[in-house]
Parts: sequence; C-alpha cells; structure tokens
Amino acid sequence: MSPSSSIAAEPGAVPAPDEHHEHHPSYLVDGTTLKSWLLTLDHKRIGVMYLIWVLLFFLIGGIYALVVRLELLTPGPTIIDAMTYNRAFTMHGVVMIFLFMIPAIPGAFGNFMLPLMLGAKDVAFPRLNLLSLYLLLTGAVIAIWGMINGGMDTGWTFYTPYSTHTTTTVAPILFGAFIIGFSSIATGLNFIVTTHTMRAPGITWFKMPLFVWAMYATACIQVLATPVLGLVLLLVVGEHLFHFGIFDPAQGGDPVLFQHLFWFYSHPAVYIMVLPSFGVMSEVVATFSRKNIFGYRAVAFSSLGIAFVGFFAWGHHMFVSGQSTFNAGVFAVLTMLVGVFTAIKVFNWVGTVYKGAVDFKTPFAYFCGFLYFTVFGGMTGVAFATASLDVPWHDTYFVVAHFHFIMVGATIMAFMASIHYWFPKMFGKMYHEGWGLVSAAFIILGFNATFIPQFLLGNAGMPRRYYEYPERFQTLNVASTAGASLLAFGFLISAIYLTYALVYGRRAASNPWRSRGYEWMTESPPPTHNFVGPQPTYPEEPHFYVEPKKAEVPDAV
Amino acid sequence: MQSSTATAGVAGVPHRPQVAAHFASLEVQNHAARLGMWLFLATEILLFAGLFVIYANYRFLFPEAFALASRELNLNMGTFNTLLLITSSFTAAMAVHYAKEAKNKQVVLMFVLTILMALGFLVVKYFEYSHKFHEHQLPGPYYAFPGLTLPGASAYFTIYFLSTGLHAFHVVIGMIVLGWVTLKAMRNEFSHHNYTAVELGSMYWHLVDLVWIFLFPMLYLI
Amino acid sequence: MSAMANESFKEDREMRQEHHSGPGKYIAVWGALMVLTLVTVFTGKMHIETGALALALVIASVKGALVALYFMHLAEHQGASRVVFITSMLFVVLMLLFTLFDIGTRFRPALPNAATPQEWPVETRGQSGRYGGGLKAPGTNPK
Repeated sequence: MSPSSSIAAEPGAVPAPDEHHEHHPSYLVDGTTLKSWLLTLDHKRIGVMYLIWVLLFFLIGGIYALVVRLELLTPGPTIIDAMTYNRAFTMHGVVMIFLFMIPAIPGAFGNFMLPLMLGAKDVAFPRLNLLSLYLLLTGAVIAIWGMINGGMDTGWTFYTPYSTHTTTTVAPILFGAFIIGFSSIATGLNFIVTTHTMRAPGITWFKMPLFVWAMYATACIQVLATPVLGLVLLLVVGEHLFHFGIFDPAQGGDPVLFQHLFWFYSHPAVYIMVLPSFGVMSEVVATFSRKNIFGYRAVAFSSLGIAFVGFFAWGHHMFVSGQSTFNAGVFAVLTMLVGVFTAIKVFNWVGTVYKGAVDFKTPFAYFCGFLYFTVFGGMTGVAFATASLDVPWHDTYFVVAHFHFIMVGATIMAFMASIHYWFPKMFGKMYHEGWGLVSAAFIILGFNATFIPQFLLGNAGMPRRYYEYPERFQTLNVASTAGASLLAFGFLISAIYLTYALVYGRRAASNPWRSRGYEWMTESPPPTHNFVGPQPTYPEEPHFYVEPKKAEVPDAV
Repeated sequence: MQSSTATAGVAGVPHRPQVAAHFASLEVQNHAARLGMWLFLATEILLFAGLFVIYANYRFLFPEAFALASRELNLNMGTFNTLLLITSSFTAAMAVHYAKEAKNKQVVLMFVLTILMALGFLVVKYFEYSHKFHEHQLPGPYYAFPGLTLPGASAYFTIYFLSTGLHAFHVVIGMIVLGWVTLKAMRNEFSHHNYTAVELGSMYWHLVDLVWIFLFPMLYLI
Repeated sequence: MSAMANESFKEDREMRQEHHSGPGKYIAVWGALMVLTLVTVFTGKMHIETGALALALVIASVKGALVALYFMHLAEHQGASRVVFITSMLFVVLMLLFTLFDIGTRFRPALPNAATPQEWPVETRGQSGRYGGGLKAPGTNPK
C-alpha cells in the first residue's frame, strides 16, 4: 500500500496506482484524439469540458464587470458612453448568470462527482449529458454573437415594455438564453434519474453524500422552473418582433405579469446557483474538520426545503413594481422561510467545525470566506424580505451588494473551493498550497473591498444601473473599483498557479486530503469506468470520520 | 429510448434489448427511461402553465371581451377535435398494450391510427385558423375584426394563437416521434421485454392530449 | 441484478404484477372521456350564471386524472413518477394562485386601464393611505 494513500486498515482502500495502471488508464488518457473528447460519453470528460468553458465565460463576464467598474470611477463619463455602459452591465449579468453561474458547479463538478459519489459508472443518460454541454455552447455562441452585434441594453432582467421596444439586439441574446435553458433542464433531468436509479448497493438515500442531496435539490429546481423562463423568453422575443402587446401597457397589457412569469423562474434560479455551493461546502467542511457532518439529515432536508420554499418567494423582487399590497405581504412572509433553511445549514456547518481537528488548507480557507459571506449576504436578504425596508433599498447598490455577497461571496468561494478540493481527484496533480492561500486571501479581501462600499452606497441612495451619479458617491465608487481590481488580481493568481499545476504539478496521491468522501474511493484521476475491481465497501454513513461513541475522546480518528 | 434497440428477431421473434454498460440491469434502464420521460413531461406541463397564467389573468381583466370572443370560435370543430384527440390517446394506449403482448402489427395499426387522427386534428385547426385570418381575428395589433371591438378581444386572440400554436407544434413533434416508433414496430422489435420506446412515445402523446383537455374548455367554453 | 437500486426493483415488481388484462379498461376510460367531453360542452353552452368556470375545471381535471391514471399507468406505478406529476401540477396551481392574488387585489387604477374586472372591495391599508399615502379618487388627494 503506498504511503500516501488512506489509512491502511480502512476498508475500501484504493489499490496502489501502479498495479492497475496499465490495464485501466485514467479517463484523461483513455483516448487522445480530439474526437474522443468531443464525442465522449464519459461524464468525467464532459465535466472537464464544462469546467473549461464556464471558466472562459467567467472571464468574459468578469471583463464586462471591470468595464462597468472602470466607468464608475468618475461621476460623469469615464471611458464609454451611456448606451455602451447599459450594454456592459446587461451583458455582465447575462453572461455571469446564464453562461457561468447556472451551469458551473452542476455542469463541471456535478457531472464529474455525482456518479463517483453514488458508486455508478456514469450518469443515467450519458448522451443527454453530452447534448447538454453542446446546448450550452450553442446558446452561448448565439448570445455572444448578439452581444458583439450591438448587445442588449435592458439589464439582464429585460423588463417589458422597454425590452419589447428597444432597438438593441434583444432577440439573439434571449434566444441564446432559451437554448441554454434546455441545457439546464437536461442536466437536471439527468441528475434526478441518476440519483433515483444508479446508486450502488449499500447507498440508500440517507447514505448519500450531502453534495448529492444538494445536486438533487438543484436538479428539481432546474426541471420545474426553467420551462417557465423558456416560455417567457419566447414570448418576449415574439412580442419584440410582432408587438402582440400582452406585456405592453400601451396596448392594454400588464407589465407586472411579465415580472411574475420572469421571477417565477429567476428566483428559484438563484437557488440553482447557490444550492450546489452549499453541497460543496458540506463536503469540504467535513473533510477539513476531520469530523462527521453535524446533523446530516437536517442538512439533507434543508436542501430540499430551500428548493421547495424558493418557489414561493418570487414576488419579493416586485415589491415596488405595482404588485398588490396583499401579495407583497404574502411574499414577504414566505421569503423569510428560506432564511430558516439556510440558517439550519450554517449552524450545522459551524457545528461540524466545532471541536474538529481543522486542517487549514485552501478549500477550508474558501469555506471560511464562504461562511462569512453567506451569513451577511443571507441576513441582508432577510432584511430585504421586509417589504418596508425593500422600498428605499430597491434597485440601489444595496441590492447589488446583497446578491453579489451571495453569488460571488458564497457561490464563487464554493466554486474555488471545489476546484481546489477536487483538483487532485480530477487531474491527479497537486497545486501549490501556499499560492492557494495567497490567492484566497486576495479574493476574500478584494471581495470585501469591492462590495462593502456598495452596501454603503446603496444605503446612501445610489441607484443601480446608473451611468452617472452625484459627486458625493465618488469615494465609495473608487474604493469599490479598487477592491474589484484586487479581486481580479486574486483570480489571476489562481489561474496562473492552477494552470502551472496542471502541467508541472506534483503527482497527487489518490486521496491527498484523507477524505472519507465516496468519490475518493477510486484512483485520482479515476479510470474511465470509475471503479476497478470489487465494489468499495461503504462506511456507516458519509463523511464518517469519527465513531460517534468515540467523539468525546480527543485523539480518536 | 436510446439504448433499448433490439435486433429484428429470427422468425419474427423479438430479442431481449441491449442494456447500456452503465446500467445495472434492464429493469434499471427501463425505470430510468420512464422516470426521465415523466420529468420531461413535467417540464412540458410547466411550459404550458405560463400560457394558462396569462390566460387566467387576462380573462379576469376582460371577462366580457373573452366571453364574446370565445363565441366566435367554432364550437363544433373544437368539440370534434377534442373527441379526435381523446380517441388518438386511446389508440396510443392500446399500442402500448399490444406492444407488451408482442403484437407488433397491432402496434403499427394503433400508431398509424393515432397519427392519422393527429393529422385530422391539424387539418381542422387549419380550417379554424384560416377562418380567423379571413375575419381578421388576429393577435395584438393585427386584430381588425369589426364584430367585436371591446378592449381585451385582441388579447384573447393573442392567447388563442399562442396556446393553440404551441400545442399544434407539440402535436407535430408527437407525430414525428410516434412515426419513428412505428418504424421500429414494423421491424418487429417490441415484446414484453422491450416496449419502452412505445411507452415513452405514448406518454408524450398523452401529454399532448392532457394539455388540450384543459385548453379546450378554457378557450371554447367561456 | 445485485447492483440495482431498490426503487428499480420495486418498479419492476409492480410492472410484472400489473396484470395484463384485456383492452376493456382502456375502452371504459375512453368512453368516460368522450362522455365527459360532451358533458362539458353541453354545460358550457348553457352558460350557467355562477360556477361555470369551476364546473369546467372540475370536469377537465377529472378527464386529466383519467388520462394520467389509466392511459399513462400512474395508478399502477407508484413512486417517483407520481411525485413528479403531482409536483408539477402543484406548481402550476401555485403560479396561477399567486398571480391571480395579485391581479385580484391590486389597486384598481394600477390595472390596465381598459380592464373591466369584477367589482369587489379592494381596500388595503397601503392604498387607503392612513399613514400619509392619501391616495383617493383622482383630484381629491389631500396633499
């Protein structure tokens, strides 16, 4: 048994790499032609391709963000004109949400890890999985083509009637988003069926890793909510082209109806973005605290709870849009419920770290940032749910800061954590831990520097999506842009050392974190068919680090 | 539907279908296919739901216009279409029944009947649409029907064309899917061990029927 | 057969048990659907004063349930398929309900201006403006 693998006495220990290497090549080298990658049915290769593309889309969205922040350095025009600015923030939103956030963790890590965590050889529908990737790319190409040919200036929320009257290129971008919606539905459908039908013997529902629960809940949202977005996109494109008038007050239509249909998807969509990151964090926190997850069932059920309650909350985006006050009240109360489930998770994660033997590696550093951002982003969310507080804050930078705290602060921290946690699993190489911590520091500090000024700006009254602003807001805007540069620098550092590690990194052991996660029960990188040899023996429960009876004894492992 | 192909049997006896490598067994594969199809049908239900929401809201806002506009529709044609679609759903269900009994010829017959009835449905819809075009009962700004000038009438026809149009699109897709399954039945592929493709195609067809069951009273019987 | 999730086993057992009776059941359901269609057309043409919409929805729901339970075999397959179908229906109802709440209780002048919805009292505190909103009929605003 090679010294770097798991504890010798542990059941299901991975065989030494050399024994099987020549007979079971890793998925990375099993087939080296371009065709073997482009037409692969292997969920791991599809996951890697997703990862490459979503990182590219993240870069594009980030460039738009930097353009916006540079423009906001001065109260008046800085580098671009007003129409270009409108297009820039719109495209930042569209690219980040549809091309990055929605597909990222499910597409890259869900695809890679889900079958491994269930002891399966692949997802239920591998060809649908590949189609899902190509649908994302097709939609992205169409949307980016639209961006280059003028770009939309409506904001990513494309409210009517402006979106149906503007002369900017609405149709291709919305149609691109429509195609991407199918990709999302296909992924969700695949994951649900995989979870139901492909668990290995011994893995019952309550022995599944928490990442699987989170992906399952996300998949449920994807399947139920995305079709409504699809319809809305078609209707708006149709109305843009043919002027039907169902959402246009000048033609007797109701613009608030558009908002209802739009947010019916888009609010659950934010849970599509954030639930997978909660799943990753459950995995990371257990591994790096070397402790069983505190309250496994609570965390599992809270994932489903968030998914379910997330569907009842959409009207909180419409408190000032002209919705009835009765409805506003209903949605305000229902929105608060989501906070309950998220809080359950936060308490359980903290409970896991408490009295654990923390191994402060890069993923754990990102977990710390994640926890802080989730708590503050989440609490400001509950503050927003109070309709009376929402009225002055609506469409100000307070909202922008709130959702960036969750979207970037929570989700992207988790995305970074998953890249670092699963890097050795996916590529068999180890990155440089020191640089990992350095870039995590830059990212967390840069993030704070970017968005805390935005909370202050919003509270002071600066509206969002404004090209010009009063002089008195300039200091905070400059601070925010400086922070954004730090944030970008942090990402740049990670890009560099991770790419370096891919090529020149040290060969990693099969389980360098000594994690009890099920995906670590096979080699790193895994062979094409995931498991070689006899079925691994699954422990009592996932994340099983300590015998509960022995938990009181300090050095029990 | 992907991995349940069977080779045409010797002397007309269908073989057991192939199980894809990642599935534990044929039963798992079939269960996965069925569950996957139900999830897909759920997405279709949610897709049409948006149109029902728009309909409900505008009907609340313009009750008289909607009622009067609804009278402009040809109830006989609508009723005939409904009965036709229900019967086609029946033949699709029978096709599954026969597939389980390996009576591939009856499967072909049932699906051909289903497709013909679907075609009939579309032909009737064509007549209804052309009547509306003739009377200028068209969506939004194209509405110019002098017999009903209440506000909300054009919204009714917008919703009418959007919902029946989307439905007709799904009818066409259903016909193509069922046509493909019919070809497989002609090659004698189905039996008790392998009827998943028939079942899934039939399920899709039942959904098309299900949507129409709700669309019909909502549009024609206000 | 060993590596099979419990659900697939259950599903397979149900499928085998599901007795392959003759076409009678399908014919009966088809007949019921045809009859219900004629009932809904007949009652629709009567243009009943109150409850016409509710009646039409009930009949349509019964027809839909028959199709789902018997043609689509939900009566026989327990488990995930039923949950999927019922959940999707629940979410449709959710969407309808909350949007109708909005449009039904909204301050009337905020609705599309040519709209003629059924009259009922739409009085909520925010609209009557006890704490300074003060919105009353046009031209009578105290400020």
